[in-house]
Amino acid sequence: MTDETDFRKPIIEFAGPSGDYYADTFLKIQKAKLPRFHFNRAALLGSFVWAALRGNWLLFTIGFVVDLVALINLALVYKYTQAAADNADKAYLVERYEGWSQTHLIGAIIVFILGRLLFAWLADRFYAKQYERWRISHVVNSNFVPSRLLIALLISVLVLPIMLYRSTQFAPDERACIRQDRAIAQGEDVAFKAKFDCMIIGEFPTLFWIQRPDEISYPRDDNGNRIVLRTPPAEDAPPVNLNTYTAQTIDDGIGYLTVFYGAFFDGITRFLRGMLSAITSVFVGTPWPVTMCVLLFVAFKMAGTRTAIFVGASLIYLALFGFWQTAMDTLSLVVAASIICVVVGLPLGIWVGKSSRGQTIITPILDVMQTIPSFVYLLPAIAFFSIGKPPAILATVIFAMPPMVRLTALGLRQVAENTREAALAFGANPRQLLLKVELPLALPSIMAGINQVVMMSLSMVVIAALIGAGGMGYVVTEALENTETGRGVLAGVGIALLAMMIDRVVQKANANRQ
Amino acid sequence: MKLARNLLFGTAFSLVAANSALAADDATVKIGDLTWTGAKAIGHVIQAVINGPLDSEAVIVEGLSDGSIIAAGMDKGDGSADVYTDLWMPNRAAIWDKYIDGAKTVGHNEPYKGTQKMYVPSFMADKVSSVEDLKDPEIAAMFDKDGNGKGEYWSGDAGWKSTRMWQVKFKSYGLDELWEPEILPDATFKAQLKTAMQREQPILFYYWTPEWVHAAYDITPLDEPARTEGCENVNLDKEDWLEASSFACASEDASIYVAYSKSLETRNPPVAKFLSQMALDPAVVNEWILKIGRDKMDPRDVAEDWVANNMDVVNSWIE
Repeated sequence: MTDETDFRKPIIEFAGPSGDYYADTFLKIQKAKLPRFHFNRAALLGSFVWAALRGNWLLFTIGFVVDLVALINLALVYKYTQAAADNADKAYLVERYEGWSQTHLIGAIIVFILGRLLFAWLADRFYAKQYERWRISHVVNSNFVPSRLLIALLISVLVLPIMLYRSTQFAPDERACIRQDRAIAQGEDVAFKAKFDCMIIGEFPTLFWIQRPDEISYPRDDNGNRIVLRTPPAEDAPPVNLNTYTAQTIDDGIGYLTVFYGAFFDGITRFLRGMLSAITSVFVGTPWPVTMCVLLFVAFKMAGTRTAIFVGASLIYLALFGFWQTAMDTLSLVVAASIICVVVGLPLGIWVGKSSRGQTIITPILDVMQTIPSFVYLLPAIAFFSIGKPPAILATVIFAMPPMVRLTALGLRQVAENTREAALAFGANPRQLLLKVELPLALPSIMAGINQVVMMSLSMVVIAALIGAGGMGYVVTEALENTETGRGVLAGVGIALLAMMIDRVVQKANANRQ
Repeated sequence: MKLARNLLFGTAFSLVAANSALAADDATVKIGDLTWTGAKAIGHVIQAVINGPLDSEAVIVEGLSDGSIIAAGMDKGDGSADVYTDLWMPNRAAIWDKYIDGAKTVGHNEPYKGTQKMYVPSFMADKVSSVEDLKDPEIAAMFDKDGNGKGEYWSGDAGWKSTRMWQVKFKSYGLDELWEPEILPDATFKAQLKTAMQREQPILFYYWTPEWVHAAYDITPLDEPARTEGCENVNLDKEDWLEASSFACASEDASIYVAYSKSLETRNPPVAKFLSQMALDPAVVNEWILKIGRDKMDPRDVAEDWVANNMDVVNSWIE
């Protein structure tokens, strides 16, 4: 019995009022004998006020958010009931607003009841944890301190009015606020409420307006040379926001580059076209029996009979459904893009794998390349590299190169340190170390990288078709534009089979080699 | 845990709210979101008239840009799609035959006129001024970007009937040995056109009026042979449309309609009446298009301002 009292004393000291209740509860928690449905009644009634008095700010946040959500739902009920009354002459609006108002009423009740129950269920469990922390260090809040209510009050005053105001008002849309800004600029008087609504409860306000940038064009002077001509905007043209201004500047930059440095980009385009037409003439130019036999033989040699059968079946699918030429067209695009990815990605990967500076510089760039939506760079690609396959190859390279770099770097970093040391001990110079030790050991990872590159290139073919790359991607887009679902599915399966064919062969070859 | 619960409730409420919104919106007019500027402008004016003077509710369904799907929705009449803002005839004859003449589930207004021609930049006009000039292999070579021996021309987007129409025309003019179509979305083509105009590169393309590119860029239409009896014999919906059709003369001016689901006559009679009486003037449509496409104004502002300043015209549509 004395033991029991010894355990109880610090709890009573910690809890202050209702010490006995907390002593009972905490001891049950320590013995894991607390009933499954144990609720703290004071917490159930007092919610975040109780939590503030007890000094548990985690519970305070939970309780406050629960009550806030319930309250906001009630405010919405008020807002929609008002709206229904204001639009009494329009039956469909009344019906809609009354529906919403009912939904939010139910929502408020459910959130309030379930939230409070959850809070009361959590209360003693979390409070016991606070007690354990208090036993270790007495800095932790303890006892029942009414002055803590001040903080609770302060938080409520900061949050509640504006949240409630927001949920009883229909927020102004961005356009209304832009109009209002213009009206203010012209010296019109705007009601304080309207200004406040635009500042606080709508879209983040436009803090500053910028003079519209000059229109830029590139006419020829008397000698036939291109010049930059800036035309100031019309007098009454409204000012623009930061977004529009910057976007216009980017457009002007692209325009300037294409007009004055077009020859440079034309050179790249010509190089890509040349490389592609060489590859295309192999794939498309070779008659189908030859290509098919060669592909089958390669699959058999590299990956064995079963993979060869799969490749054969896929090729027959493409041939039977009339996709042969288009599939070969797509394949040459993928091969061209993959070659560039490997040629550029491998040295980059070695740099990233061997130098920490390389890693810091390249990794964020790779992240951007992989995540930026491809449509964002498709249109600039048209400006620089025109329409057709060259910009499609570049767009594909941007999307498909990151795994090559990453997996090469990973493979190099996975080479064991003692292997490296052994090579150095035998007098290997850095070049020998890289070419004869590190790269061969990293080869499985590099092969996986190449595999990824091919897969990701194939997944770009549909997007590439939007800038005129043709091939299987075009079959898919055309079918979908004409709502011919069946044809779209057939072509889609064809693309998937192309991808799986290459994937199986490369993977099997890689596994066999090891 | 708190977060998870809030998320759960939030989703549940928004689902319920969305459902009730769907059920209550029977009178709401759903306007298709076709991609070219003219269709967008007309859509926003229709929306402004319905939301403003008619005091009802219309929404433009974002991304509802496929003509066939809009037409199928209008036919169903379940309020999923109600207005086809810019129905080009004869380009969209299939929709006309199936729903307006056939099922009679779709109504239309008095059309306005549009033209469709092949264009080159005006700095090319001294070398190329008619389709006759296109038969010159040297001219075709100037337009050959990919070096395969054929010049490229933009014939429209996949899924537009005009895309096939121009392929038929090039074949009938005997140009298909020297020229090949580029089939691209309008936005992609406009990016290409902008660069070509800036860099003074040759470019041959289909375009139509009313549109803003005529005001933004200096371009010249090509002459085509005058129309004669039987010069146009096209069936673009056949499997072998290219072989089965022939078209060796200028395109007739297109008639451009606003088409709407006849279910609106019961769901929202004033709107159905307005859509059947709406009469557009090409000059006015062009004015909207310029403001939206060239001056980059917000289409909603353009539409609302126009409606506010032209109430007499609007009243003649809705009375």
